[in-house]
Amino acid sequence: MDKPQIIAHIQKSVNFTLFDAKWIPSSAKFVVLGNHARGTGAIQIYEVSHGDATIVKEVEKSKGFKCGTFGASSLQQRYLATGDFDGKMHIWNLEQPELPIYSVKAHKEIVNAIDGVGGLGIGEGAPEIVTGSRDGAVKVWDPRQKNEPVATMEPGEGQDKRDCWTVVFGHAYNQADRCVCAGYDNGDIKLFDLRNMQLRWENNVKNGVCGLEFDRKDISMNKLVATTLESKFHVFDMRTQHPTKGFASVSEKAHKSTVWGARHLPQNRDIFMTLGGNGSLFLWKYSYPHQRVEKDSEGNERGVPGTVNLAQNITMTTQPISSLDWSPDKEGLCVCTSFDQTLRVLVVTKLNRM
Amino acid sequence: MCASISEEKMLTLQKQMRESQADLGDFLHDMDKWETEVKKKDEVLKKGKPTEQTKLPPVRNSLDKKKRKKKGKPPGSGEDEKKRKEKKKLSGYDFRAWDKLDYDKLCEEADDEKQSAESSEYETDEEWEVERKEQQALLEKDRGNEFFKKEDYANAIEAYSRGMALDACNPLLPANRAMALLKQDKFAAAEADCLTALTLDPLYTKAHLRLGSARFGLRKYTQAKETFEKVLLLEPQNKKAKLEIEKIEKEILKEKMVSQVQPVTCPDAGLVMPISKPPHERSKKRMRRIHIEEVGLEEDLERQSAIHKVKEEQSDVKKTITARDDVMFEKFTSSSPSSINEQSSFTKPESTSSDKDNKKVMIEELTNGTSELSLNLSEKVKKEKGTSSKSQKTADSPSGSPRGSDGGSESVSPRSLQTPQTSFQFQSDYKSLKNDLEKFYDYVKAIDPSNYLKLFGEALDAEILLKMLIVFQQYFLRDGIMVYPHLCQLSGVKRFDMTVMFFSRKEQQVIKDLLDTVKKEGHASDADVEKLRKKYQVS
Repeated sequence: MDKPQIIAHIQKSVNFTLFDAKWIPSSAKFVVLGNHARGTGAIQIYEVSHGDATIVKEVEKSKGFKCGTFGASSLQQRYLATGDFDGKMHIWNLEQPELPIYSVKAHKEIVNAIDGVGGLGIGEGAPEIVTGSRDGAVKVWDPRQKNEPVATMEPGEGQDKRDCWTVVFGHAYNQADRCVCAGYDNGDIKLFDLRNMQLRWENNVKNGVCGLEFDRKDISMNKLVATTLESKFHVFDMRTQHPTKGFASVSEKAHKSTVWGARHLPQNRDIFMTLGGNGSLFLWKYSYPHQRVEKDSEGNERGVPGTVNLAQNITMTTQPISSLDWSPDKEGLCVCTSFDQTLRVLVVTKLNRM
Repeated sequence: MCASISEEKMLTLQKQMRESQADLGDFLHDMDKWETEVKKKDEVLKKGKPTEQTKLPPVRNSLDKKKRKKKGKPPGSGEDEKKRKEKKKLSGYDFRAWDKLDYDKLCEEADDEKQSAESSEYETDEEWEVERKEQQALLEKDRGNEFFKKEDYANAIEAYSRGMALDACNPLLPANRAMALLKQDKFAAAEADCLTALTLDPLYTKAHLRLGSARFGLRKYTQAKETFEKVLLLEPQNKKAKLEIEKIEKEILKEKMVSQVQPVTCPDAGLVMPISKPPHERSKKRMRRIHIEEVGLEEDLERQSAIHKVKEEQSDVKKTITARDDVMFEKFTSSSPSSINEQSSFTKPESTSSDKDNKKVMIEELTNGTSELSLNLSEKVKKEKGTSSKSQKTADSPSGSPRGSDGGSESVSPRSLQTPQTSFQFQSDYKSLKNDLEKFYDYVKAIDPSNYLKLFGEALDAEILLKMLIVFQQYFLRDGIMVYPHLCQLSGVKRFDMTVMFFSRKEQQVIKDLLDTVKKEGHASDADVEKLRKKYQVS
């Protein structure tokens, strides 16, 4: 009887296409990003108070925004890093959003995904931002270094460039170790080790990879969820890498539509929400197997995948859910955006009793 | 039963709904509290000064290096610690010593230790920054090389300069920049860059080579030679250096010849500069022949030829002007009188010979001031005037015959080729004629010897020269045409002496025979023949 409930707490309609929403850390505010029909970019900041969300600030910029993150900013500054349709990466001080405090032409084409680490007390080491773009490149940026990425992962000369749809940081459990995982439109998942500057692992999940997320960025890699087209998602156990078979995984069908992404609950890394192309949200719980590691015939260690169980689902709209963000400060509070030009603040109850 | 089951279900459902309602209510109540709390927190964060940032690791790319550095350090500090331990280690039973121990002091010391450890880390940071810059400099170098490959030298130089700003100790950067500068013919800057590169790495062969090229470009021949010789010391098999040294030696030789002459040829004073006016502005008076006497010029052959060389080089532009005028003039004179009224005075009935005169004077007038060459020319003109009418005839034929007509040479079959006006025309004609001496003879006969200079241009091909000499020997003498003016003019062509220098004995014999005949026939004075002998380098 302790099934969690998903309740749409607040709904707001906006007059632009919503692509991303993020809670501003240590506040009851969130920021939504998108682009207007006229091609300009929109940033709106809302504050939640007593069952309502009021708009605090609204900014319009020349190019549409596709994605954003606070991951590389300190808790004091809470600067927002964004990727836009023109391939530019900006960092904004939301208190003074007139001019970006950092701007770089990061890619030749739209920046599809962005992620940050090293700020907010999440992940050790340098603050870094990673961007993935349609031009096939994945670039790592350090806000302290102007104009030049600190690392670039792109297909070599002659290799065909795949559209990079998603990119995330992980494995940032000490100053040196850090990984970037990127998903591509052809189903490739590549794991780059930034410490050794090499490709650590790659896999193909047959369908284009829409979303990737480590359950935690700031621990030794534990789990990775990859969501794909054709209503499938995979959960990889990232603790044990077999020399030939790589990481063990479990896959699950959901949403009867593209699975746009997965978001782990910040307060419980084994609970995550998947975002459906049909406007539905599925809440999952991952259960570990009795033994996470087993030995194969040659004595190599191999990971054992666990199982995923659906805990709750809800259909919010008929349009795809483009993003969802759990509040890092209040368990069970999240904001999601969908292509019906509506943002929703959701409440998920009884998460702590799962 | 059924009713009771459904009732039960109803009840549980209701209970569930009530529970979840309560849960939600609780949640929302909590959230309200949370909201107020978090807002306070938010305000504090906003107002609060940015707290001292904990030391962040440096920008990536140097991460690994820092690690290594750190690993390098510990052994030393470990030793220190050992020493301290030895010093401070107290026996567990030495209670008096324990009593004396100042704990506060010890604590302070421990703190100091920590701080010193931190500062040492900072040191590594600095080193690390240096290394990062070096890396970036290398990146700039690569970028510069890219530009260089694309022949975008300006951008390449910029990239190298940026690299040099980042890392002043890398000899590759100035050396590469020097190369780019060389490509832009900025020799002095290139030389400076090469010198910087060499101070950084004295054994850098490429920098030596580039320094040599730069100095060569600056005409510092001896220095350039020395540089290349250094390269040979470093790399005895370096072909480029060897080639360059040969080249420089030649240049030095040339230089010597010129420098010998230079004192004599500080002319300018009293020279009449050439005037080129469009025909309609020119004086309508008949032109008068001007006699120029040579005063105080020794007949030193070597000097003469050197002067030629230098002068010709200097007056290249002027020469092209004269040549153009020449052509223009010919056009006017050969066109029908009615077409250009202003020309009427030029083209008077008795024409050809007077035209010829005019033309001669024209050349004289134009080249007059510019070079010794003109002296030569006018000399020749004098001689021509003085010698028989026969020579006049040969000289007349080209200018008298309008281009493309066959009126010029009645003696031989209809001519397919025109009198050449440019060196290119001559070259191509020569190619088609070189196997037919008879035709080539006709062809050469039609050329005014005074045009040789223009026709052969920069270099007289040894093959052509020989062909011409053979033609002179076999046909001109046969038909009794004066050979002397031809020989005289040929010897005035640029690089003539160089070409002659490489003649074999057999070929020299041809010249000898020719000159002997000239002497025998008495076309020219013995002294003149002797002069020619010297010029043709046959003794």
